[in-house]
Amino acid sequence: MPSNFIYAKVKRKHDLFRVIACDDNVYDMSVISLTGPEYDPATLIEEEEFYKISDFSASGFLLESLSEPLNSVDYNQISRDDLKKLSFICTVQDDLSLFQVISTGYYVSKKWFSIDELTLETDKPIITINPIPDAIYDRANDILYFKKLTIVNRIFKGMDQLYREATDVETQAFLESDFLEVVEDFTKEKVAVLNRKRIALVKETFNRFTDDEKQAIYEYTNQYGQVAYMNGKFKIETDEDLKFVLWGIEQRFYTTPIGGEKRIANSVISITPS
Amino acid sequence: MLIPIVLTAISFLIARTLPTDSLNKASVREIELANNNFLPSYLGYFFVSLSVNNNSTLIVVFVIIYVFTFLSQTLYFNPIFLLFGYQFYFFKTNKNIKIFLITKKLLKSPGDEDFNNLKRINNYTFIELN
Repeated sequence: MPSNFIYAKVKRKHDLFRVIACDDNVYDMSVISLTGPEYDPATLIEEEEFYKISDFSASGFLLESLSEPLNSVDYNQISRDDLKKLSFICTVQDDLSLFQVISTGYYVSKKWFSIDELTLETDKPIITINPIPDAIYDRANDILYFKKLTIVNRIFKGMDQLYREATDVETQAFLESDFLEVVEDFTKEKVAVLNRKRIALVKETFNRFTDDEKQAIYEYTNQYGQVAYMNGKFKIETDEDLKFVLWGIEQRFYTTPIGGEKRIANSVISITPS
Repeated sequence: MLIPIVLTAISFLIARTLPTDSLNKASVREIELANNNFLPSYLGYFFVSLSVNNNSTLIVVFVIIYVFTFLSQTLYFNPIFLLFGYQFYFFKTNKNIKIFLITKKLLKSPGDEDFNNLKRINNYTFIELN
């Protein structure tokens, strides 16, 4: 009695397709640990961890088909042509839906032979399933687990809004802020992707600060002395300088209470109960 | 008379190799018995065949009916299945999809039983072998 099904999403087609039914588990759950922090761009995860988003169905990104248990009879069998145009596959195993994004690189068009059967296969592309899925949706608890937002965005369209880059206009506006003194040859084109993401993030938080709070932020950032601070302005000469100022706004600098070592937190998790 | 029955019995064996599907009982919204749906169309064929009186007409009519039945059928309806104790049902799932299901189970109301070992004949027709 098969308990697991693999479904697939085909590019430019709305509904999922049924691919195969299998008796055995597709994923070995003992190597997948569903642990990790709630998603926050400021938090980095360990290699074996996942980000999670609780109450995922409330976010509106959840695929319509996944809100209820999938019944394979509702889905058409995938055709051979469609198999060449997959965007992701979804394995339903127990109460979990496990996703793997398929890119053109996944179609192994190399020649291969199976170890059991020593015949060379040339025109038989295969799709391999990674032991660790790109995303997991736990319907019973309504939690989405994922590793990378850019990848999961290909499954749940629009999710990258949660963490986007600042546009050229926003970047320019930020560089023109009155607390920055940007040297002339450091233009918005030189702001790298990571800093653009940080700008998009801090923009709102920063605008919510009162003038006193802003002043406190400048002083706090200056205390850690990474960027030259003169007449109430930080001198930005490189992308690196900009990074330190952005970290300052995010209050990433801290001093160890014992030993007084100055540090930067490259990943933060809030422990204040919300 | 025996040939179609034997062929049908063989078809059950072949059906074992079809892809497997499942349907959760909670997802069944409506069940409708369809055992007698075949009657009108089969009666039609029956009367046509009675009025055929030479071989050439038989071949032409047979080919036409065969081709159109083959191309138009989305529901695989074989009345001989009834002799084997199978029942025909229309199911409506919670995705508002209507499927045709062939099973030996006698069903009246939705939500009684799970179907974990359905065989897919085509995208609309499923059979539960035992």
